[in-house]
Amino acid sequence: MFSMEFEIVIVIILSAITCSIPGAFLVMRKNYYAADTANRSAMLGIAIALIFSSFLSSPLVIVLGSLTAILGMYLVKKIKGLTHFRAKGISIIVSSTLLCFGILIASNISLNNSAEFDLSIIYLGDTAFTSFNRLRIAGIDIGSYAFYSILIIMIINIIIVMVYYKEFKIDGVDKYYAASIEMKEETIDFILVIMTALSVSVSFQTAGIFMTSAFILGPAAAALFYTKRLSTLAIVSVFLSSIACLVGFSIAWPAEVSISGAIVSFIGILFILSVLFAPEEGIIKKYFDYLAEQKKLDEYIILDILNTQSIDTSSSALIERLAKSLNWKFLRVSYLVNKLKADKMLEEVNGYIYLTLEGKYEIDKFMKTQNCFH
Amino acid sequence: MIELSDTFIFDTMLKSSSLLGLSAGMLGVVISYQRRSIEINALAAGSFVGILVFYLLAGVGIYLSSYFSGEIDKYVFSFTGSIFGALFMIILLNILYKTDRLHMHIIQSLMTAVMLGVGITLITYIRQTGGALDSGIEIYLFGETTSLNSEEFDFLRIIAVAAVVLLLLYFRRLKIVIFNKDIARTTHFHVSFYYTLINIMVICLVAFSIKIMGVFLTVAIFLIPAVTARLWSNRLFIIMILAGVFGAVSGTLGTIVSGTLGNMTLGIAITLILAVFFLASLIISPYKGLAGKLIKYMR
Repeated sequence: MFSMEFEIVIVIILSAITCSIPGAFLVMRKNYYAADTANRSAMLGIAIALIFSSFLSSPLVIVLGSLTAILGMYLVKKIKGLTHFRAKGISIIVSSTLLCFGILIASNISLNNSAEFDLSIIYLGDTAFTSFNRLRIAGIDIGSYAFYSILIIMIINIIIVMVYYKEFKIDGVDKYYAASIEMKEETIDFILVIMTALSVSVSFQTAGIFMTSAFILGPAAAALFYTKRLSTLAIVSVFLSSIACLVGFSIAWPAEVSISGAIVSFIGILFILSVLFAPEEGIIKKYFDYLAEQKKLDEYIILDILNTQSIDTSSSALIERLAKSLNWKFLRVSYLVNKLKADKMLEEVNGYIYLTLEGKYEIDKFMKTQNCFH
Repeated sequence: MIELSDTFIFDTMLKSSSLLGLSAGMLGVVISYQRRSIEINALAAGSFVGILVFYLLAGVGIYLSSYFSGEIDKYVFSFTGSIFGALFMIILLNILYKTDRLHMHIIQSLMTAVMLGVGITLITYIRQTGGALDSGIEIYLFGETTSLNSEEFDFLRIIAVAAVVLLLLYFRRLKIVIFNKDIARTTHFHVSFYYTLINIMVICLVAFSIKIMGVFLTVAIFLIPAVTARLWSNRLFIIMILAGVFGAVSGTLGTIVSGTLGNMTLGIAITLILAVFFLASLIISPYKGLAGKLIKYMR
């Protein structure tokens, strides 16, 4: 029907969107171990399902994969209740044990008698492979099998988000308020885990099982630096993931390297760039804000000294005396005094330095906001 | 098994995995109390990428020095690659932690997946260009029983023994640094020195355990002994010794199991034995396990 490249791009973009919808809420709720646990423990279910079927996108794979992912989360909760350890450590133990069983079953039993694929397709992912399994109705080819399975899971995810949007929002922003209006936290947790498990077990065939956590967390974590509203967060993360898919595919397809690997690398670059250079929340902007604040504080110190202390303020001796008593460098003090003169906070009359009315007003206003001096 | 135990390879692997288990288990206690346990995952992925980048450099024809060219070159390249990769990763993570918008663990698990993506892209690139270098890369994914040679075993022996000795030597100071950074700062000893010491030990041990355990299971040998030992006691020194013992025993048993069965890689065998230890301690431990709860309930 369409060309092969177009179908592959559509399948990747759909799976990225499917993953990034629960990701936005996971990042919001600080439920950070869910993604890692889900994708590592889904391996067991996928390996068991591949004994019985040779399709990577058959319903059995999706159902068993998400069941074992939910089983992993359930075990983490049970052991946490028993021992009162932190959930992150227990999730590593449970998920790596289930992963080991999964790899053992996959490499020794389920992939032994199939000549079509080997173990590497589960953890590397092969997007080009998905377009070979065609869905036929009455002999007519209507598209790849993976396309429809991913589409169904995406529609399920969107419906869940539409229905429970208010609960997600209240529980994500304020846990204590949610508890006070008798909202069950465990129910919301369970719904999110179901969404995550379904997305992982359907999109492992395109992304590879370990890289799905980048598909889930990456766009949402990058989008968190540009917006503060939950609805915009979800939309921006969907947008970012589709951009990453397009760019990654257009790099990887001509060079014949792994498509999902290129997409995930691009998501990583996007994330690092937005952590560093985001216009309002980025590290570099915050650092320069901090420096400007420090400089402002220095100016206020000099203004306060001139305001309250009765010292000899002849312009030749003042800078030296300030530098000596504050233990600052001479150049720094003279720079600050000149800057204050230029801002009309200080004025020089007959070789003596005085505060102007403006400067007095400024320092009074500043001191009133500092509650510790009152 | 009797035939196997005579061979040099089996002997080397038995010693190296038990040494690695001992040192990694003891270090894992420190790391898990610093709440950095998932960072090991990210470091392993980073050192995996480092190995691949150094393979690529060797393929292009850039060598470290003329001294290393020849037989030893491949091993030196892979080891320095993994060290540099982990170092790069720890620097990158420490830059990214400075943001207050995201939790530390999100950054760690995201960067793990991203580094695996970069690694897999590089693997497909190397495979496509071909050459002699493309063999022996996939052992880093799940570990291999016969992956260390004798030079690397010497390295590992020095580093593991040094880590154990340093941990025991600086134990009291490390305890203060781990549990209360503020007290450590006010009592005027160099907190940054101990942080750097822990980081150096972590980087060196991760660079080895990526060969024995594989990328995905490196975190298991650091974390599971510490959590298992925490089920038995609440004193740090006892926990550390117990974690070392658990790690060493599971490393030894894992090598024997993996050498006997044949179709199980070393990382998987060690992880499964550690998981069995954890489950057994969860049931029979008198301090925090089910048996202890039952005894308290009976009284």
